[in-house]
Amino acid sequence: MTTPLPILALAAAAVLVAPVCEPASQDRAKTQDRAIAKRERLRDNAADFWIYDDLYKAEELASKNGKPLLVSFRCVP
Amino acid sequence: MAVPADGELQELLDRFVCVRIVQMHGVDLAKFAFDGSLTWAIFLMNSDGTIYARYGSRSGLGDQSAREISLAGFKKTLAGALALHARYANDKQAVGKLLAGKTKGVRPPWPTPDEIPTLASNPRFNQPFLGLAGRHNGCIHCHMVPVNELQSLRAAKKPMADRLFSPFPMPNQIGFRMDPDQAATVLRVFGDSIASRSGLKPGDRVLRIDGQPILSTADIQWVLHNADDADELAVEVARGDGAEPTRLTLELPDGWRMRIGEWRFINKSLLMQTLGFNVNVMPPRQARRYGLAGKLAMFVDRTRRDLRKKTGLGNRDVIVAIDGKRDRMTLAGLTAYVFRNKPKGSKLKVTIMEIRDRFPRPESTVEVEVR
Repeated sequence: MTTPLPILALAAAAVLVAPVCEPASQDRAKTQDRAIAKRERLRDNAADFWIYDDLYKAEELASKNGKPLLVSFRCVP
Repeated sequence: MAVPADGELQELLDRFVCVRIVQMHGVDLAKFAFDGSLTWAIFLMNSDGTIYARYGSRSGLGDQSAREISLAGFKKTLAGALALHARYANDKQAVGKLLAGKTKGVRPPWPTPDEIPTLASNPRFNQPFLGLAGRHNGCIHCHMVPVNELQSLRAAKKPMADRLFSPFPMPNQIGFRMDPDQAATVLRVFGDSIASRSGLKPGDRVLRIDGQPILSTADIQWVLHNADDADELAVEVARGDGAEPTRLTLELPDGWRMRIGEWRFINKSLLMQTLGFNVNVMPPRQARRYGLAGKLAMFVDRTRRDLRKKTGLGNRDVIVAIDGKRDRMTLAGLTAYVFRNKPKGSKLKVTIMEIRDRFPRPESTVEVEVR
């Protein structure tokens, strides 16, 4: 007895789709890991130029060298 | 803007200590007051807290979001701030007095976002921010500040000032648009507006408003944000080659904030959370076409699914009355009305006019539960 075509099609689809249907919590963790990696990359790329999230350090440095402050409020997307 | 490629910009930025704040935990809201609906805000200041200029403005969402800012304009604002910094170093007393209004404004309802009750009691946000290497939980975003301030004031049944519903008004909301490529030059003045009645003209270089030196559109927003509900603001502009500044007066009528249209993300968010739908105000030309000129006319923008099922209220429905009131209402006005008059559990009557083939049709009224 041969397997009906619709069942074969469904089975093929399941084999193709299964690897991408991970549990939702694993998706969230991977998304967060990517977001953290991105933030760290941005921070490292700009390390020479920007002080990150440390207003006191910036105020101290500005007071020491007589420069004005540029304070940017911008989240890491 | 991580590392600028523009040489002139780089040169200007090298003369500042640049710090990027990526979340709002612990931020002094009296020192750093800005429009929470922005995605980017800049303060140019002295290390002692004296503010020289603000930068960062937007007048809409999507494509409109970048109409008000440009690198060219930003460089001019930076240059202006550096000039003020040099003057402040030479004469702290006099320049400090000049900048007092730029530095200190209306006191916020709570000193830091962490103390706003609806954030302080939320286990997702009342934990230490884990820093850039940590998980995203606990990150307080800029827009959460004004939203939670209003929610907390409402929950505590405390008064809610008009400026909380219509914060940091843009100049175009009172009838003039600034040139984004200049520091503080008027680009256009709209007819029959607060600005046109003051005598402002295109090409005017705004020197001071209410005694404060103006170096950007954001500086103008700051002055308007701190203005009273009925106020007169002295304006000094440089016009043409005139040696003497021209003096004008911006007359802000009683309740001006609630009458100006705006796009604020926070109002839409508050309406969605409280009513289950939010709205866009109908443009005047369209309102005239539907016989709604000068009257309440709003499109439903988004509706919560369960509300749509229960009431039939759907996207693009035209609202013509709220609790029987048909006077023209802005987004801020609607939010203020709901927050001040409709406690949790009460009902809001929403009257919809059916529009088919661009002709007005019968009206129907639904009741929406207020959360």
